[in-house]
Amino acid sequence: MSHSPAANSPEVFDEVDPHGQHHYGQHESHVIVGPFMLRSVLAVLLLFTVLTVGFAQAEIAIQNWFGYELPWWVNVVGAMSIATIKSILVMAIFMQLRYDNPINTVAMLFCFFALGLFLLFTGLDLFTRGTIYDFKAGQVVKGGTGQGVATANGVPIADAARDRFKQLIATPEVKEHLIVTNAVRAAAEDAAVHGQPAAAAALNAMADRMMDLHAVKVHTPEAGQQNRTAAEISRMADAMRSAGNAAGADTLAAAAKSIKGLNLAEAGASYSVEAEFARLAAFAHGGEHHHAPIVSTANESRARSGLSGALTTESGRGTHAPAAGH
Amino acid sequence: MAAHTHASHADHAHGGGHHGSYLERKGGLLTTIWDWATTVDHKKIGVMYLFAILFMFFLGGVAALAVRLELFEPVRVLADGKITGQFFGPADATNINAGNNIYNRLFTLHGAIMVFMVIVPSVPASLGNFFLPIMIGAKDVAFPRLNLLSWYVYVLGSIFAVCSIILGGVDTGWTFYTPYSTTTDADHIKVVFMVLSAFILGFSSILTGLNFVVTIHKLRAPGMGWFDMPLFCWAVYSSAIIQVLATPVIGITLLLLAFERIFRIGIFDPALGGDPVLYQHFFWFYSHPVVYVMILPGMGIISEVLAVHAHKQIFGYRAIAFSSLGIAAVSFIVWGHHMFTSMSELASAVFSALTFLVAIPTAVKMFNWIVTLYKSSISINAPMLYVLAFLFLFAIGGLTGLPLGTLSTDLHLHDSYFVVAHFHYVMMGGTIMALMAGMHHWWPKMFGKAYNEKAAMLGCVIVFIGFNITFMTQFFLGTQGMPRRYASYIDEFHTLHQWSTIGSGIILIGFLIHLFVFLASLAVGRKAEQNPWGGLTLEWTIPSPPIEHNFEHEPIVKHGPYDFDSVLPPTWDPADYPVPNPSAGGRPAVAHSPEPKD
Amino acid sequence: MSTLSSSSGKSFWQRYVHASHFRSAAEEFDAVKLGFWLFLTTEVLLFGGIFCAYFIFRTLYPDAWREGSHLLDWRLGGLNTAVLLISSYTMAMSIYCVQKGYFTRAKWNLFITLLCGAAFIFIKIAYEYIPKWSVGKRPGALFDYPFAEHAQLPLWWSVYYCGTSIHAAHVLIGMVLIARVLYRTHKGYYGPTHYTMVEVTGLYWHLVDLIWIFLFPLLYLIH
Repeated sequence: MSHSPAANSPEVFDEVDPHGQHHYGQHESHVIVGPFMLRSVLAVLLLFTVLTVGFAQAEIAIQNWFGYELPWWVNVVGAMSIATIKSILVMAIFMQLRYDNPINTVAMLFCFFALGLFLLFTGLDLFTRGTIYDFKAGQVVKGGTGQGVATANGVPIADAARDRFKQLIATPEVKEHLIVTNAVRAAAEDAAVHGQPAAAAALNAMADRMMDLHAVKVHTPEAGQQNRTAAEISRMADAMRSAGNAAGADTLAAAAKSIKGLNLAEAGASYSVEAEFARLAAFAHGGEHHHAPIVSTANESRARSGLSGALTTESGRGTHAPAAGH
Repeated sequence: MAAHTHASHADHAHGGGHHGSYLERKGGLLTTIWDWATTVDHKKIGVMYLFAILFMFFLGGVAALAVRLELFEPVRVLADGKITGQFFGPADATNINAGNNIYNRLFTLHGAIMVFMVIVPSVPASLGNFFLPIMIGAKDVAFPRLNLLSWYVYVLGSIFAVCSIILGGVDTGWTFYTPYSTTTDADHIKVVFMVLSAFILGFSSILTGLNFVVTIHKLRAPGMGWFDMPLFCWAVYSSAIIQVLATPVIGITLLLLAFERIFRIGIFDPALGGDPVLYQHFFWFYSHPVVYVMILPGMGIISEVLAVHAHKQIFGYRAIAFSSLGIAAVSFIVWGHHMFTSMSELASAVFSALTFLVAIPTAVKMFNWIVTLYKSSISINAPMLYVLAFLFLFAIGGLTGLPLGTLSTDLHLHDSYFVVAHFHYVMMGGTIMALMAGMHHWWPKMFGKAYNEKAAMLGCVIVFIGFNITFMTQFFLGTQGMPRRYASYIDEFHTLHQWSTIGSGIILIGFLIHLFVFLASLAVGRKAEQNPWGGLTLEWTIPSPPIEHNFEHEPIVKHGPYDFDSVLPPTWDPADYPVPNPSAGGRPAVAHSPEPKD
Repeated sequence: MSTLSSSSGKSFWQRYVHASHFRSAAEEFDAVKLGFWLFLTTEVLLFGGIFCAYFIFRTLYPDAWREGSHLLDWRLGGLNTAVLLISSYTMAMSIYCVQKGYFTRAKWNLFITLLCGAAFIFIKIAYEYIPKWSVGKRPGALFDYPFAEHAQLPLWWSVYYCGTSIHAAHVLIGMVLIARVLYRTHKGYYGPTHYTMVEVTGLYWHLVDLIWIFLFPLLYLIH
């Protein structure tokens, strides 16, 4: 089935010579890019994907282990350069720009140029919005900085979301859920101390599930959590026993018993919404920051970022919002 | 340029055989309607576009007249609580805002319809669709079905706009600036309808532009090099590039605006951390280049009509061709001059400086046209009158752009009637005058019917007078401090506003005359000649109206589009040709002579 | 052109005659490609709006952007990148196979491309959109995530959802186009001398990949 385009289409269009009478400057429309080339390009593309992820991870590792924060542009320039190389490969080989009529490349270049102008001039305005020139300093009152704080009805949306959540964890059902969760966590630590790694892992996994934001916020816990959890741990103990780990099963059974005997009212007296919130936030960040330095507590980091309800201005355009400086 | 003489190719087997006029009816009424509704013939699509656009022009015009009527008298609340001077509004109004809201809806309606549904597609989609392929010697545009699709998309977008109007209208202004567009009628779908309408119309515009670029690149006839193309094609090409590159940005802008209204995502909302001026950047990155989509094809018509009716080689062909591309290029870096009062000082200064670059290619065109007219043999008829009107009005429109591009003066003139007058001088005085010039110039070719020249010239003069009365007064109003988009004004402006309204009535009379001229031409006009004006471009080498596939055989181009000094126009008798060839001392050579040009 | 003679025993692609306003099939192919590249420029500029919003707000609110980036799982993003890259490869392979007349292989490649597209959408929705949305990582006024450290985090989610959802819509459109090409390849519409739509669909699919190549580091990696 070999196809010879030259035989089938003697007239390949040419700008200077629309009828192909002279056959000069003739280009090949039907280029066939072979499997070897395509596979090589795919391999290189996947390699670059690994590279760009590794690059970002390496930066975090440097930050975590050596405490050295690379300048912000290293990350951006690195990732964008790799993305550019990848996109050039895709366009040149997969999309066959390399073999194509150059006008298609020109069209694409014009498009990127226009995009560049768009970003450049929009940035020119947005990033110099707050600038005041010295020679006018006496006449001009500084206005907005181009930086706003997300608010709804005067309360920053992020603050509102946090307050709603704190109200949620103060409700009796969630309170019970979290007290039980902490008891499970304590039992897990206990098991670890007493040399029962299997039981500790099972209890920790259970505590993780219970501390997940889905379990707390999405599937709002119902009352009776204490008994249900104790029953589940008992089932886990039975399973472990039938698997042949009698010591582990005993630990679990003891944990179930202690949770069942937990005095909720007593534990609730020392329950602190703020501490619980901090614990959950730390857990969420630990669980989700797959490449982030673990933030100690949400409250601390909030204090660090200078965020609080008092910082919002009436117009919603906070002049005290975190500075954009690099 | 390479050799231009070689044998024409035989038509493809299935390409020939259509030698009847494209207007020929294929059967009964239903068959004809179906034939038009499913046609892929660029000529029929061009005609359908023309009528759709003229209908929307009528709607937008009615809104304009309503706006002017409202402004005939200032709105006043008397001591007894009665409201006077309010033309639109409840009869026993006690709340002044009820009527003023209607005014807001009217000017939004006028602006949105005129910009998105009339001026942007006006010349390229109608006359461009019809004549671009013929002028470069092609049978059709590159993607005929896409062309038909673009018409349907246009109609769909227009229907959305009409739905929005029926639901009560939109009062955001045609620019949909945030936060007007995100907060007014917040619980109502009609603003989303209007925004979606503009979004859909953008697709129509992209499809048309894309089609034209490919057509010009790939379908030029043998011998038609880039610099053998009529200047209209250059202009349409330049504007098509802008359409392709700029329109998608309005697409994403309007999409984000719709998200903003539906989900409150906050990108343009300062209360959520966004920036409303960012919307203006997004909007004008499209809408400023599109100003040149509106005017460039009009300028192409002017180059065409002016050379033919002056019977003279156009002066500075390459300069005009490249100035079209120059305008297209510069159009992408000047959008900020719409936002001098909302941007940072640095950005304003940079944009102000860049804005003046536009003056260069525009002036190149202007001077070349005027030099072409110098010592030429001008036929005074309706198309030529419209060309002269264009030159006069566009010069005023262009020059009044300078104070608006200058940062310091713009801060005073911003959002005043000076701006309103300026863009009406370039949009209506430019594009609409050019569209009228082109419609008269090509009417005999499109429909094979001649029109009444004297009546058309009368209409042109009336439109010209009415236009100047309407908008010249607005320059004065603006410099005296009349802000735009107000339903009322102080007493000092009363006289000028009244003159402006009277002028709009005169424009109406002028356009009604044109309407009757065109309808009469279609109904009882005598058959038009093949080449009534003595043009040299390819559309004059084929019958009026053109046959279905434009050309019996693929044409071979042997002379430039404006070689009036050396070539006799097709079908013209040498004895009637007005310009003796000065260099040869006799009559010009006959067109399509076997000798190659140059 | 002997292949153009209409004999009923031949497949559609063997009988294909180019549109009459083109001079040759090669010219038609070239024109369609130029037209489609122009369309791709419009797609790039459409996403240009999202990139611009990202660029502006990232520069204005670097801390919120850093926080947002940390809330995304690079493993899911990386997996989706690999899925799309592989699908781009199979798409390119299907063009090669049609050019060579290996129709069964072409269909398998198209089918794998389709599967990859579906996998991308599935990962996106099941592992990213639904878990994130349900715990309150939502755009703008809908935001309800209790542990935000920076006030502009809702804006980050706006940009994230706008960018990825418009991209996902493009993936879906691409899948429809590929399904159509798959069907028509099966019916014998395309072959070595006529495969314009396969090529064009491939271009579209590669563009979807191209956009993701930039979205992935911008959203998941840059911090």
